[in-house]
This record gives sequence, C-alpha cells and structure tokens, in this order.
Amino acid sequence: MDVYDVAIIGGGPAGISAGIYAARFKLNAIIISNSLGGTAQSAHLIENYPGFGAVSGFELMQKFREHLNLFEIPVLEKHVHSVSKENDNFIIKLNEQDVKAKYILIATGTKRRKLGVPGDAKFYGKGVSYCVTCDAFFYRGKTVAVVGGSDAANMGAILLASMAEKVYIIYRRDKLRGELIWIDRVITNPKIEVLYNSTVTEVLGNEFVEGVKLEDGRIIKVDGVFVEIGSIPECCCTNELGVKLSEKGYIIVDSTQKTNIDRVYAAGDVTTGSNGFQQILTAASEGVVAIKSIFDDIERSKGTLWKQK
Amino acid sequence: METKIKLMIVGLLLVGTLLLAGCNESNPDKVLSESDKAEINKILVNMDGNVELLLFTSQNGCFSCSKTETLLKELDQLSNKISLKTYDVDKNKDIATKYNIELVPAIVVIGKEDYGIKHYGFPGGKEFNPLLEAIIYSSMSRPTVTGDLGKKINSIKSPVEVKIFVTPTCPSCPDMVRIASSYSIASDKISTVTIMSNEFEEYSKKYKITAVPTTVLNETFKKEGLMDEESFVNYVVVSS
Repeated sequence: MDVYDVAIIGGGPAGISAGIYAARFKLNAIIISNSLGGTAQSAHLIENYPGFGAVSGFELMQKFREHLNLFEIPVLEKHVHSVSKENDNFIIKLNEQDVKAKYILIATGTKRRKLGVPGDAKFYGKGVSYCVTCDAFFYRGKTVAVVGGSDAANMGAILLASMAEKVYIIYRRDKLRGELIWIDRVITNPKIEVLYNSTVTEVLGNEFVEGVKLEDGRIIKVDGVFVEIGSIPECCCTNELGVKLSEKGYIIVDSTQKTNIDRVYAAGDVTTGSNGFQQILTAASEGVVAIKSIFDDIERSKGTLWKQK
Repeated sequence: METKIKLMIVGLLLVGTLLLAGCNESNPDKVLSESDKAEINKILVNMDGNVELLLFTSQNGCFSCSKTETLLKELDQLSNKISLKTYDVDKNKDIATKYNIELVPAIVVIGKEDYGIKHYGFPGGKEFNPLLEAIIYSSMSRPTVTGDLGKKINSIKSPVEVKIFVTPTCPSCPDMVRIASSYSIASDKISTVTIMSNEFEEYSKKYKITAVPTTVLNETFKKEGLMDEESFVNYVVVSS
C-alpha cells in the first residue's frame, strides 16, 4: 500500500484548495470526500468570491473541481469510518480499503443545524426542507416560511420569493444579521414578511406541512418550511486521535492550521481559524496555509527547509 | 464499488449554465457551444465500447422533446462510439412499450448491455454530468462490486426499479443518480429512472414529491434526501 505524504479528508473549498497546493508543492497527496464540492454547492448565489461577480455555489465548486482536475491528485469519493495511528503512519479506514498517510488534513466542514422541534423530522421531505435551491420549485404560488436570519436565510427567502406567493422569515432576534446587501433586498421585497423575535416551537400538519406554531402561541399557515439556522462542525476522527476541540466543537488550530496532535492539521469551516468567519474564501485560504505548513514540516524533517522570514 | 476509471468531470461549468437556460446564446438552434463540446470531448475519450442512445419523443404537447433531440444529436456527433435513434412514441408503440416509456422525452442508455438506465426530461443543469457518466460507464463491461456491498447486491433475487426525482438546480441530486446508476450497471436486477420533477409536475404529484432528491423503489418504498451507497444498497435489498 502506498504511503501518501498527506491525506486530505474533506472535499469542500478547503480540501480542494489544499489538493491544488499539494500538487504545486509536489506532495504525494490524496483527497477523500463523499461529496467533492461540499456544502458550498448548495448556495444559490455567491457574490463575494473575488473574480466571479455573481455565481451559484454549484458553478463555483465546479470551477474548483475543474482546477483540481488539472493535477494528478487522486480523489476517493468515500466515507471515512475511522483514523488510527500505526507506527509513523495514519491509517484511514474506508468501506473497502485503507489509506496510509504521514500527515492528515481534516477539512470536513460543517453540517446543517436541525430545527429539532416536534414535526421537523416527521415532515422532512413533506414540507420541511433544508435545501432552498433544490426544493423552491415545488412551492410556486404557495406560502412558505424560512426559519433563520443569517445570509443563507436571507438569500433563500429572496430565491423563494421569486416563486412563492408569500414568504415569511421567522427569526428569533430583533434584527436580521449578515451582509447588509442581502438584508436590504429582503426588507424591500414586497413578498417577504419578517417575523422578528419569533421562535418556531412545532411544525404542524397531517400528511404534509400545514403551518408552524410559534413560541407566543401564534400559528402561521404555510405549505413549506425551509430551515436555515446555521451549521455545526462535521468533525471526523477527532476523538480517536485526541484532537482538541473548542467548547462549540470546532477543531482548535494555530496560525499554521496545526492541531494539538503532531502531523494532524485542519482547515476550513470545521476549525476555529479565520476568526470564526466561515466563508468559501477563508476556507480555501486555510487549506492552502495548512498545506504550506505540512510542506515546511516535511522539509524541516529532511533538513532542507528554506530559511523562513 | 470498484470503478475502472476515475471519471474526469471537468469543464462542465458552461454546459451546466447553458443547459439550465436550454439554449446556446450565440446560436439558438444549438444547445452546446464549441467550448462545451471541447470539454465534453475530454470526457468522452474515456468510453470503451459503443453506446446507443434511444430517444423517445412525441409531437403532442412535449415541452422539451425538440431541445433534448438537439442536444443528443450534438452529443452523437462528438463521438463515433455514440449512436442516436429517435422514436416517436405515437408511431412506435411496440418499442415504447418494450422500454416501458411513461413520459417524453425519454432517454434510454444502452451500452455493452442494457443496464436499465433511463432519463425523463431535458437533461439540463446539474443532471447533465450524470448522463455523461452513465454513457461512459455503460460503454464498459459490468463491473464487480466487492466486499459487503457486493454480497448484498448479489443476494437480490427479484428486479428493483429505482425512480429518482430531481430538479436541475439540486446539488445533491447528481450524487443520488450516480449511486443508483452505478449499481444498475453493477447488477442486472437494478434499473434506474431519473425524472426531472420541474418538467413533470403531475407525475411528481402522483408520487407526492415535495423535495429532491426523492428515491422511490419498486413503487412502494420512498426515501427523501441523499443516501450514501450503503443505505441505498440496504434499501434496494429490502425492496427486492
């Protein structure tokens, strides 16, 4: 079995950028990801990635994949079961094979936070959705609610308003947060009504969603509920390796993207890096920094590291 | 599963964008631009044997038959390993019945064998890549699935028809189609039908679809969302 210099676990913006830079540094690298492109693909419109103007998440990540394919970096579209350490190597267990590597870079991103109220799971796929770009089409001429008040909720509400008759944004705070450019578009859209200081306590319906119940007892009649209440870290293999996490479960990294464990690095939304500002741009940047740090480590161990500034 | 090649899904940004609109802006009579064709050619070089695309159309109220035929003719011209046969379902009822065509346009992909892969609707947006992949994989011999999943697949005794409802803007739909199609190719008991829900609203309502991807197995078992390979195989085994 080949021993790779670095196994990059995760294939979002951080993992793909790391793969590109690993190739440029001539590291023997592999990417393992069950979804090359990651959750960034779900964003219906990205207007803050330099050089692209306005682009959908899918198209931007297609460009990332296209760029990666210019290099000979193998990609295994597999789920990682576990990672262990054996002598000087890490063993990454997949479904039907193992991968050995000297370094690992965890770039597994985040997963969507669930609404977690009665009716959320019961009506998933029956009116409750976690993907506006996928399912907005089914609500043409109907009434829907978006739960949340961040950029994802705001841009989701704008997309839905182009198809639905009425869109409620239900948000627990007294003002929307995120980029002001999105907030302006929300509050000037005649189809969108923001219900501030409101929390959904139950999703109501029989076979399909018929409404939501709010904490103050109000019932809002809707045909669909789109949940956009943020994300939680999708940590992989941190327990078995002893990787230190923050109180909220993110991987703690230093300015070189190194974790507390020797030869284990992390990058992207799964980390505490970039001042907690989770963007495609910052994730890509962390992936690149991590690979440079790994390259430096390898060179240092060989005694061939260039003199640092 | 064991795959013979690593598919090169490259350069399809323009293709995906154009196919969402369904036209080539510089030439409305075409779907693919010259740069799209160049990128697709890079993918089609991975074909092994020949692949036949059967396109079923109708003159009666078919929303996207003409556009789909234009696209497939352009694909046909890109590789001498692809051949296209077009059938009007109203004039070719026997062959439409043979392939159990319920909606038009329908694309049936036949490679080294009939692996049971069918697509209803214009394969635009994010659904273009899975069609290209189906063409490439169908051009190859049936692969062997190893390990536990292979044992489960080999235990299937009766046919399982997998229907996957998708939309052209759904990021996880191509992954679901990819998993199902690859197991259709790996097992002669599994067939995969992809349905563009945005084109077939009434058909989707019949199955009470309100989210994509939604997978329906043998008309009875229904699962919303993207499944991983293991879950998919488990559900197929239960449905068989």
